[in-house]
Amino acid sequence: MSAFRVDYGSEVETAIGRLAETIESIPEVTAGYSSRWLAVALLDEDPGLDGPLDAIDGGADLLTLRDRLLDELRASLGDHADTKIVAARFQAANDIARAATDRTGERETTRTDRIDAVLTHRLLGIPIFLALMWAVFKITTDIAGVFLDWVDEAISGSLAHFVASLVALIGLDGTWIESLLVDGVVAGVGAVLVFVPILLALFLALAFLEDTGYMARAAFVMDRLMRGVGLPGKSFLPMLVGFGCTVPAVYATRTLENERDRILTSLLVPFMSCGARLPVYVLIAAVFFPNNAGLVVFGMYLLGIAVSLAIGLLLKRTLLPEGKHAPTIMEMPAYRLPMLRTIWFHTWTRTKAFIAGAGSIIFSTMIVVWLLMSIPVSGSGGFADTDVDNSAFATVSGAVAPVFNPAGFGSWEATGSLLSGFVAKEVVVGTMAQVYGVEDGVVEGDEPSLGDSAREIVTGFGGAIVGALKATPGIIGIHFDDGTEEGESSLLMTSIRQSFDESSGGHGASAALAFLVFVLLYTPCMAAAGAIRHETGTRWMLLSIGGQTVLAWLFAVIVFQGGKVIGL
Amino acid sequence: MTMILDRLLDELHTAQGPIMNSALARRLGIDESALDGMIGVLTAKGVLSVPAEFVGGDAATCSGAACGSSCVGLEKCPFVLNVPETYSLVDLPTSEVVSRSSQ
Repeated sequence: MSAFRVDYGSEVETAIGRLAETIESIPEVTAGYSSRWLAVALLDEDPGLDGPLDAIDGGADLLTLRDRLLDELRASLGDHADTKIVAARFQAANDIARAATDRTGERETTRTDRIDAVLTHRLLGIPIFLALMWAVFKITTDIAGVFLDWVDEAISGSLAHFVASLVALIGLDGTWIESLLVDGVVAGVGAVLVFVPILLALFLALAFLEDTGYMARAAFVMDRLMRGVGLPGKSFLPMLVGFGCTVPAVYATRTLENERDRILTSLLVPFMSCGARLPVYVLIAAVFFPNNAGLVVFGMYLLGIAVSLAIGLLLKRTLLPEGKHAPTIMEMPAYRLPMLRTIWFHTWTRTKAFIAGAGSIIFSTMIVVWLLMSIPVSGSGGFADTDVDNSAFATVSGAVAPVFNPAGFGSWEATGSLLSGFVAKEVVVGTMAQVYGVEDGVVEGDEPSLGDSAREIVTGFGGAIVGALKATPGIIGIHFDDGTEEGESSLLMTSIRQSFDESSGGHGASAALAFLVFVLLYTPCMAAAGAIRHETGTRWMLLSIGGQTVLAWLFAVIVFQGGKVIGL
Repeated sequence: MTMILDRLLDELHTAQGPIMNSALARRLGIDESALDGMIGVLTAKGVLSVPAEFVGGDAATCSGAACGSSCVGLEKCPFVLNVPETYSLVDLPTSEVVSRSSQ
């Protein structure tokens, strides 16, 4: 039986022969290696050979010959000539496999193939992606939203009363310390923590989709839209990360080879709604659109994608003309039943990071906001005892507020919330709780005992569970309540409604929608701006901040004025 | 006769958009494991780009509000989703491909 030999084609075989001939003239080499094997390995540029060969007599000449032969091969075979050897080897392996195995039909279709045929279908892929995202936000707002009141009651009711009691116990009630702790820290940070159930649900749903293998397909499905704006499909990967947090999403642009793609994607990623914006959407939607909260939140996420595509198109035709995009292979994981442990791990680590954020930057920002609201710049009040309208915070915010009059939310309260939101979007809700809460007195009334508070928390949780169960069929349009049950509006929600109604001349819903659009489109946070600077440079960061702010203002004005025209 | 590796590159060049590894294996009439081997070799040769890793993130910048204080660089950032590995065709001059593969 003759030894099997791969046929590398005439040009390569000639080069192998010439190399083998030289190898055979070096006894030190032929003693240890087959001359043909070594010739092939040399032409294949085996990285382990150059060093040892260079150290023996005649080795350097051999390597010089190899280099010359490779140059000749490239001249005759064109680019990637060095892959011809590998190609021939794979071809030989493929031929053997085909000869040795019985393949009478098509390759067996796996379950993953069958699911992919539907979920990544050319026409159905995007509608399915949107439908899944819709379900995610329905779960987030309708089911998890039921728990908001319970957490709110626990924090702004029981916890605030508890802190106030502690302060009174050490004789500091009525002082600025009580104001700082109750109106500043508990109201501000607490207002953000109230939204933990919402974020938990969002992260849970995303982790579920991620663990099944679907999120990887989402990037594939979105490729066509990305290519429309001159970006490779890979660009959607950082954008998917952006639904969680903009900062890692900007860093994830490093996966793109082309600098132009990296810059463009870094500029578009901030338009993706990060988790930190969700509390603002949910709060404002609950105040103005209680029956369509899910739709409003979903709409914000869709608008973010649409705006990013439109801006991408604009930049492609102006500052960042499209380059050549390399063909890409995406290695998809097989679909699988999600593992509870993995889902919980992702959900919890992400939620924990959000809570940790509330404990660091949100906490410190809330204290700064409280401080600015406690410093009087007019009127007769003293520190922490001033009418909030006369505070430094109201004065500074009031000076900027007229800018937002055409968008319907030109009050100092809304403006101040947006200003603080530049630090981090979670702070918007916290600031609202402070500015509206301080005016209306969130923590008032008889103080319940610790036992009463504990009972309220337990019964409130039971009520929330029942509410969530009742709300679940609502995702598919089945409602168990008769629609007359209106949620109880908190003082904060009532204050927000009044303020927006006043600043918009009675078009509160339009102004609220414009406010949400502004929150969606302006710079996500300082950290995101820092990440963009880090990845693209100061010039692009400034363009991002300036461009996003102007765009956010323009869209907010259009939404408000448009809403007024249609009577919203 | 067109070699299997050439067919793979042809499929990539003619694909309108990215192509999934399973679809590519089906078009070539080979198993995904065989395709994985080819991708590995083409990556080593510098014909396909190596999927970038989320490494070297600036922990100081990443420890912003939304990332939370628990975020210490991108490798550990909890918000980074598991995304598919992607391999792009590198359209480089031969000399550069060769120098990459010899590194």
